[in-house]
Amino acid sequence: MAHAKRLPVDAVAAAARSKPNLLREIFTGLGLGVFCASFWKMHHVNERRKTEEFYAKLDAGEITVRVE
Amino acid sequence: MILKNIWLFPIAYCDAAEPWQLGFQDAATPMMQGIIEHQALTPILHHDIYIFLIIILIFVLWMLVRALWHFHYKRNPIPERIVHGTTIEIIWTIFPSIILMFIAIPSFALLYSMDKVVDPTITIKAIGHQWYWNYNSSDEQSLTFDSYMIPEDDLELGQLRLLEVDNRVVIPARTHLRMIITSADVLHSWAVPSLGVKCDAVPGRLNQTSIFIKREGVYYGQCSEICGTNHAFMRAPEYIGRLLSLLWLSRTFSNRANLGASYPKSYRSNIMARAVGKSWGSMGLPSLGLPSKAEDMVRITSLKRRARLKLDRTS
Repeated sequence: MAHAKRLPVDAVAAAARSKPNLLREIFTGLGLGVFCASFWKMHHVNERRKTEEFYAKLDAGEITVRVE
Repeated sequence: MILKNIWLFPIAYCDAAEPWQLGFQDAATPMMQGIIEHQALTPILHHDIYIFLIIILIFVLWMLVRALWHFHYKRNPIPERIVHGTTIEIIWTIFPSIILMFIAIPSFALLYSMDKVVDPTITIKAIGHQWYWNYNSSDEQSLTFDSYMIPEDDLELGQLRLLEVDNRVVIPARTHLRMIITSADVLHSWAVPSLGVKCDAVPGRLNQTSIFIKREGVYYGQCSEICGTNHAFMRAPEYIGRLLSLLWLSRTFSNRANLGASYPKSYRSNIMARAVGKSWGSMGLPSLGLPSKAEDMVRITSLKRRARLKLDRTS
């Protein structure tokens, strides 16, 4: 049996049934944004920790940046 | 100047421009650390703003894609006839203002902290010319020299193209410095990205900036204000020597006769002795029980203060 072509009236009816919820889309978008930003925050915290460790070791004399 | 690795590998600092570089050069001053990331008691800027940027970017992209998806002409043949929505318009006006307020607070804190000049040990004047810098330090002894970029044909192996100069500025690390920038002809700008410094050189005006460098190294900068045909070939590299850099000290203290009106001999001789590697204990000063670099800082500050008091009493 051939697949019936979708009529415009069917499309209108489908659109009316599945009207997008604005609030849900906004919160979904914000949630995705916060999720992606959390990766950046993890990168920032990691970099800060490494920098503080570097300067702590430099001040304690454990490492040096001088070429002897 | 090795590319900084992330995650598991140790850091090798990048203090000069790198090919295909995307991010900042590595910070060497608290000011630049405040601009990029976080240092204790210093507000962050770039990393802070980036969080808001990512959230807004993902949110806007999501809304765009979903709008295209939901209102595709085949899925939604009759277009919506929305004219206005007062509530949502109020929300999308107030919400960005709140975001801007969260961005502005650390930004202003950093901006005002940049203007503070903490009792500097030395003052260096950088005078912009077409197309070189002249450096002048007249604290202990008048020292002035020109700094020209090394042409490509004269570079030695390992030197950086268009960044090296014949005379570098040698300044001590872990010391508060004051830079005074001016120009002798047209506008220039003295900029060193690793130090977070960019100061315009305006003829007839003295601009001041303060630097505190946390680690030794060689830092490169480029003129940042169009100043003529060789604007791209004016350089400002600095060599941040040891806390007691022999080169700096030898240039500063070489002529003792001229220092009669300056710090007493005992101060100079203590600093010179430490510079050649003698310990404070061998000079009759008891150990403070601090790490060596911290002890150096405390000793130099204390000696300088005592020398200044002695000078005031005798003058």
